[in-house]
Amino acid sequence: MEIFLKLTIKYWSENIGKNNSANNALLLAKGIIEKTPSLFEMGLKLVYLNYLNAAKATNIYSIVSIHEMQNNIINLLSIDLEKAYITIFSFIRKMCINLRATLTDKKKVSIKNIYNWQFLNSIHLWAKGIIININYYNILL
Amino acid sequence: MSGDEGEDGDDGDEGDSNDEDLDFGEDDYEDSEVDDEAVDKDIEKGDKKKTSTLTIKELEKIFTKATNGSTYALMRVSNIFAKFTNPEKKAESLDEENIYNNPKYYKKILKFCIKSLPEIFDLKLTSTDTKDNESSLSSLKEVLKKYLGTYSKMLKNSDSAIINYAYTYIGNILPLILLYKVSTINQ
Repeated sequence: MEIFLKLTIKYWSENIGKNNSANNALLLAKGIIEKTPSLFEMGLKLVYLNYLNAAKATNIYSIVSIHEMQNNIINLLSIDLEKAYITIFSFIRKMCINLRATLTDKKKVSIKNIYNWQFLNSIHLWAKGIIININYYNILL
Repeated sequence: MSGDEGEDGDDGDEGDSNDEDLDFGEDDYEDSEVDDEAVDKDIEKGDKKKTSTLTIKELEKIFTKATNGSTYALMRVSNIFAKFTNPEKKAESLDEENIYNNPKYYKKILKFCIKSLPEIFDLKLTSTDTKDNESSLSSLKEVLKKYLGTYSKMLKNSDSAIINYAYTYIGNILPLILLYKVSTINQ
């Protein structure tokens, strides 16, 4: 089951925007995650890592598929927002650590850690995720 | 191997730790290994003979039986599917009727295995006849395990055209994956 999850998520990230089969792959991944709650965290991590790989090369052609990926990830999050909150928190925390390190260091190398498309697209994704599920997170806060 | 050689080998085992005796013992062992390899090769040849005689008529018969729900036919279709999705597959004989030599049957077999077979498995697994009979259910699970293994290998290793085709019908295998998982957990 994990093999199918890995394969489908990889295919989805590589082919989104190119053909409709990518949506089928995502539906399978979503089906597996929905029916097997133990794989939710793993699925979310895989989706995010593949998203980061795709987000490296952001340009006028890839931006549409990146936005589509963002919507798909937010759709996956909504399966279990409580578990998603814990996983997302760790991702955002890592980004915060990078940002703080850059602010204190202010060297060219450390600035590159945050001044890139991956970081920017990550912020965009999580901001979008929080805004869409704002009602749920209001309760948590 | 003569009887005397065997006795000498026994002497070596009985206590003498001479190098000569030990060498002799190893040689003796190598001889027996060669014999085993020869037997294995004979078995492999036998298997190849079995697979290389598959014609289109036989294939259609297997497909019909598989559609009717025969577990043995499903197993044979899974084996054929595994053979066709193997990237190291080579032509075995020059016989034109042999489907393994003819690329035009690739599409037919892949279409059946990707599009129709999951639905057949699903119907078979959820039918009351199979659920009641434990032996047929366990044999079907073995076939399903092989099928899903082949499917995942195909998604990993095949050409992009085949992978794209498989992903257009990927939704069909979701019930199979879930059913297989549930059945293995219950065991």
